[in-house]
Amino acid sequence: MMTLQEIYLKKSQFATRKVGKEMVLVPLKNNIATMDEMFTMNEVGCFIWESIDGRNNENVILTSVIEAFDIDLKTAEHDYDAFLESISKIMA
Amino acid sequence: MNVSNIHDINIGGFTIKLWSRSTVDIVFEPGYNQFIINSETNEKAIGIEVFPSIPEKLKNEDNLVFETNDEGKQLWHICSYKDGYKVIAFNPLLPDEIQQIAIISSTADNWEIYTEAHNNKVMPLAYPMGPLIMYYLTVSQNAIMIHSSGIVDRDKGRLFSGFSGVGKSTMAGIWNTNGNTIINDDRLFLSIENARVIMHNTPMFYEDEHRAHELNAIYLLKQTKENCIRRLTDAEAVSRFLAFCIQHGYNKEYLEHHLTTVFDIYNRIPIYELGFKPDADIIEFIRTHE
Repeated sequence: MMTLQEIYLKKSQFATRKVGKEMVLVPLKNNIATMDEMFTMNEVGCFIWESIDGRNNENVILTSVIEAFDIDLKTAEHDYDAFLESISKIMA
Repeated sequence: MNVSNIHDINIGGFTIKLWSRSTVDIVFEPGYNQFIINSETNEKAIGIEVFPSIPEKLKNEDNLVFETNDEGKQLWHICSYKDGYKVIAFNPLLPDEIQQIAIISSTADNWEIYTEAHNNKVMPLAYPMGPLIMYYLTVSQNAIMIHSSGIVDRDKGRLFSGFSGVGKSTMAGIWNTNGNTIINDDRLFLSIENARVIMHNTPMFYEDEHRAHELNAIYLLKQTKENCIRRLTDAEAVSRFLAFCIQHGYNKEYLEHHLTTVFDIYNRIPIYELGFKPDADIIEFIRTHE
């Protein structure tokens, strides 16, 4: 899986738009054949995405997720790991 | 400035103005005939100066950012050029032959098109350059182009989109047989005008009159054994609709502009997923369920 720093550096290669509490991500591409690739994020994923700013580490983000969504550490870690796994596939 | 041959073309309610300082005649494919207008003002969304030859110095592909092919044959390439872009368009029948080169300003509204004259005539919008200009029109306006069919039913405009072969033209044919108006069965230009979404047809390879109507509902098609409908919401609605819009992925500002336009359309009219079996029952099904 990608590190937070690797994800942060690749964020600029996506156009994004918040739609309600969710987010649409469209990757920059150099060929028309791949233009149907776009992705969506739920509310938690959107929150984690916005928290990845090149400075926040895993602990800071997990604490923010726990506070923002009023969930326990185990649930937050599960959502965080799921986010990293899916975003790593998207950015691969 | 001695300008000859001034032509105005109406695409989606926007004026594209072409002119040349040379003595060549600017001519168009037959599909443009019904879209040529007589504008008495200099107002334009895109201005294009046409030159009757292609300078050798423009033919290089330095700073290539995007390319597209049709069944393995090169169709057009886009390079970064000064503050904007350079488009190299190839002859679809002779893919090694450069057909036009366009220089586009950073704001996408000022163009130069270079193309070789034949019998003292030039055809600057010959495919694929024409649809490319329409695309750039969408990135500078509140507009988007989409692979879709559009129909008008009892004054209600409906759009049907989906992957190639899913039944966009079949759907248009069903409504046409039922006596409804077809805006187009392949490509639509959507613009937001006075808080309404308007669907327009665009010049095609065949001649057709210009049609436009307010759009009231969008359907993303899939083939199913029984008719079924589901209203899409939030990110799913926006991402699935955007997937069928015509977009080029090399410019982040353009992508964000399209995202904003699609979001704006989503906020104004409903987007549905529609499973359908291709017969006339779908007409009453849609009227009943939307």
